[in-house]
Amino acid sequence: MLRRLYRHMSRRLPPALRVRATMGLLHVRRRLRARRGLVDVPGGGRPVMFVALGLDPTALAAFADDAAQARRAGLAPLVVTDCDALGLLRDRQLLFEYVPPRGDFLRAVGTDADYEAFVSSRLDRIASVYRLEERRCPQVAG
Amino acid sequence: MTKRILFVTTNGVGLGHLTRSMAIGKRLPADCTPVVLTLSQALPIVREQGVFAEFLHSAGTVGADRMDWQLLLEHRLGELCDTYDPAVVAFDGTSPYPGLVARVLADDARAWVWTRRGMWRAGLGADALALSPLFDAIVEPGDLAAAGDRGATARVREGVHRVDPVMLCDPADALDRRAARRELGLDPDAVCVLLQLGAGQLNDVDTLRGAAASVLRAKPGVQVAVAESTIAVSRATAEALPSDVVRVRVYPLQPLLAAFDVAVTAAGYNSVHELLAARTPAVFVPNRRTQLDDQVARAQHAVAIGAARLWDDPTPEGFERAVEPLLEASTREEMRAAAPGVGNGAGDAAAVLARLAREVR
Repeated sequence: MLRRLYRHMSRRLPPALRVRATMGLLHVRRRLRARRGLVDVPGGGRPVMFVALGLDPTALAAFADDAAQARRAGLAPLVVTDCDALGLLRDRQLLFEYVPPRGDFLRAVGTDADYEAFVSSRLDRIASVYRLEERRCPQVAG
Repeated sequence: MTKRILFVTTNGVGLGHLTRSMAIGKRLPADCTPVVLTLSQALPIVREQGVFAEFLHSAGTVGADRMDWQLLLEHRLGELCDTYDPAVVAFDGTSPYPGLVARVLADDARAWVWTRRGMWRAGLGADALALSPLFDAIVEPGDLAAAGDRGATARVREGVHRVDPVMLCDPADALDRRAARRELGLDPDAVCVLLQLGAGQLNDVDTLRGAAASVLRAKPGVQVAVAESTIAVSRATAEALPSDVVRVRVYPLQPLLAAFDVAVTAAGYNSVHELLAARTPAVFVPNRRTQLDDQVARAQHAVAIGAARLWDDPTPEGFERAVEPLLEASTREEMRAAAPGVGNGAGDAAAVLARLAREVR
């Protein structure tokens, strides 16, 4: 309803005011979203984070198959990966988040940076954004 | 102390925004490190270029309401600013996202830059332009067709750093004709025509591509090379093309453009400037369905100076009329001579960002 109101009003406002109206709408949405996470994992099931770090594309493909299968058990999987073969996840219509791999991170931020702390913080934030209360890791991770 | 510069790129058609950001990022001085936040499937390409990349779904792929995606973007930008503490955040796109604008309004610990090319379609983009005062600087990659720019940015000069056209590669990076043909597996003696009809999924160009290939295949001594997008490959296209057509799936293609006698391509910013810089005669097929980019005006400028021809009748007959003169060596030579010199403004754009970074930190 808010968006319809905004669209109705925006046709009658000069551009600068339309920007303000958009920001106001974003603020309202942020407040409404505060308690249930910013984004819903599609599928309608119980949202679960599938953590796939350190996998090569072959292992990621197998893990993605497992995650896709989890939909049948009533789960809504979100895969977190540091592998850039994101097409493997897209092909299976899986929602995913990417975390830069260790080598990239240390080259960009400095070799004395704490990659584990970075990953831990990223996973916590992802869990918060999507309201994920459970994490699963692959059995094949070495 | 190293200063980081975060590049945020929109997910437009093809790789234009991302390529410009990498072009600038790779030319930053040694005390600045680029971090690219891309919404593109081309993440592996960014990594291959040696640029550190973060990724976020574009609004369409996450399955979320678009306003929720803006919150996600706002949240991710906040996280990246916490993690990398960039001195400058440079957004490349024609319309800053509300999620980005929310961060700009909330965060004055760094400089916010809007990198936007000109040549907007006439009468469009006023909403986006109204956001200009929010940014500490605007960097405008120059456009050789600027004289024909009738868009909203054409007369805006205050706070705008205009640089030469921004390209990923410099002339020194280019291979000569023979070496480029060897690299791509092309016939060293044929008249080689590159078909590069759009890199993204906005338009289905398969029919145009097929029509052009069918005309060219019938010409003796002509070899056809089809550039496939490195981010989206149509299986149908792969099946439809004849077996004697060479597939080219290379990024960046710019250093190899000397391999081609003629290029047939949409009139996007990067394609036009890279071809003019390489002095490759071109047939332009402007994409008329872009959100803001005035490809028609850009193509018409290249035609007006004698460096290109226009394919505006989307039939094989129309293509034959457009391309036929370019199969003559003398015509191609005249067109090469007409192509203007194109400087690369990526270094100047990088200098603007580095200067801002030093002012902030």
